[in-house]
Amino acid sequence: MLRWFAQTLEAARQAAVLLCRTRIFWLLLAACAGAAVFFAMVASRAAPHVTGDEFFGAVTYMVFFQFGLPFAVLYFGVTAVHTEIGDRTATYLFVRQVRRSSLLVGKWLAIVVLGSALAAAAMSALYLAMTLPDLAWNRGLAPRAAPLGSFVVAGCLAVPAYGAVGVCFGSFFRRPLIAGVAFVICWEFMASHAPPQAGIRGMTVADPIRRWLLVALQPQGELRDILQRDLDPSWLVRGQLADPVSSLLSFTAVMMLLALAVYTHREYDSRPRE
Amino acid sequence: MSASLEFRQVSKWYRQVSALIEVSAAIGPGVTGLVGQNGAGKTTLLKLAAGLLRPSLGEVRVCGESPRAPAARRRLGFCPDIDRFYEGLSGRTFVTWMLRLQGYSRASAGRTASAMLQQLGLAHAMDRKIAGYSLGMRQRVNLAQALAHEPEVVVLDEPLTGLDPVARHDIGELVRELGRRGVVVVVSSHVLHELEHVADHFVLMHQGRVTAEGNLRQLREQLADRPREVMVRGPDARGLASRLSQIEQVERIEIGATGITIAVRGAGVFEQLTAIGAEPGDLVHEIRVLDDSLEAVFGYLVS
Repeated sequence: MLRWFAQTLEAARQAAVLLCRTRIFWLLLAACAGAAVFFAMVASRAAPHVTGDEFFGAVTYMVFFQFGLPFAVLYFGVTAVHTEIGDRTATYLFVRQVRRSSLLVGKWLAIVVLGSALAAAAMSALYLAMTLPDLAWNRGLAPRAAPLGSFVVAGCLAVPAYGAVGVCFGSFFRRPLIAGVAFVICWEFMASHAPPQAGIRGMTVADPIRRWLLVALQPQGELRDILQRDLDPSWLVRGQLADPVSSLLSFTAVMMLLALAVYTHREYDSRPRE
Repeated sequence: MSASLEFRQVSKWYRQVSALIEVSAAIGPGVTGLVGQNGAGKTTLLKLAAGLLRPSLGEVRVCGESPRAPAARRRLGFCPDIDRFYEGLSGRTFVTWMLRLQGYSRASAGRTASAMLQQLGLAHAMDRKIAGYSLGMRQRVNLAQALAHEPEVVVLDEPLTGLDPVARHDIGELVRELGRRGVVVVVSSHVLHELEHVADHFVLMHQGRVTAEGNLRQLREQLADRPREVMVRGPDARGLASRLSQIEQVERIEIGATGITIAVRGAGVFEQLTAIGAEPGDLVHEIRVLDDSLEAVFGYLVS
């Protein structure tokens, strides 16, 4: 068991180094900084009744949690797992004295660490851009630190779940990025509109994250409207929806188990046979 | 358990395509050449040995263990027929990482990787990115990752393909040295004349089956029903042809620009040819068997 952990950590280290060396990782970091400056400039033109917390929360949720984070983490998952399978470099790993489960969990850990760091960096950049007093675009719209903390925690909850989806799709599908896009745009959107009786809201990441943010932020005004869209607050009160953290943990566990079942048993032979 | 690689009635199907059909072979220490055309099943057989594929029927044993067992993985080195690496890594980092996954400590992995790459002639380039390596250098890195952990069973899939003559010679020497040290080495190759110099035992495959197995002499003996082709050269071609036609076992005589080619069948021919050479008149300058090469034997077996 100790050996399994040691090998998992080594696989995580190697996967993290490889991910850090991808161009997309640095582009995303640059995009985070650029987006922070851009939205801080937009904030300076916001309507007078909008508070800093509302603006920060709305941008972070709508831009970051609905698009940036899911696609970035899914991309990392697919890159870490599927690229090696596609170009057959995984062969070098599969003939080692290391369990495939170690390799996969290691890659997922790398995605969790890098994805969480990227998420925290993106949100902190926006927060800093909106709070630095000397910047021309800051007109008293500085958000408080508490929402930043809540969003960072929500990001750290979402990254493992999206990372699990990424490695699962990466080990299963021939075109995992297409499956990932379909998951975020089609499935999450559809499931988030379903009534709680359908029981499919727990099979998403977006819905539990939204419910967790509602409780953690206790938002007002437009941010509350955005987070409560298609969500009847009475469902939460009557306990018709599971606890968001439990939902995310179960979802992550199921995705990881599926990924492990496929990755450890499949014969990845990329040569077409006729 | 001594080092060995064993296939017992192994079949492998990809949906409706039979890649291997009831293949049985026991491979011991030394260098074994795996010969076959494209699609003969060589790579499938080697992937089964490396545990990358599971047999549809039968079983594969590496030193008595399933190739997917950790104990077998420790004793096996696999050099796949792929030209892709983690291109952004240096040769040394790549081999070090592979050794770390094999259970080596950080310091030991670094030392062993450097030593292996030096042995393979990459000392000058081991810290450069693999993306900038030539084909020969890439093949050496591939070999380094397969050999660095000192495996007892080494499986090399087309290690000579695309290499220049110097690299072929160097890698051939290395493979022979492994064989001499008692390592079980299986080498597949299309370059039959190169393989002939590297391996001392051969497994010939055709359409998913093992058609013959043994050393060159044993393989040739399996073709006893076929006439052997012998080139005889001397200054007087007509006189020599006349004399050769008196040998009972000679079935056909062709006089060409470079000498006389005869097709012979049966025993005792070479003694008679040698006797003609010893006769007065200086009839024979050279006797050469034309179809004793691996390529010729393989051609016969496939046809």
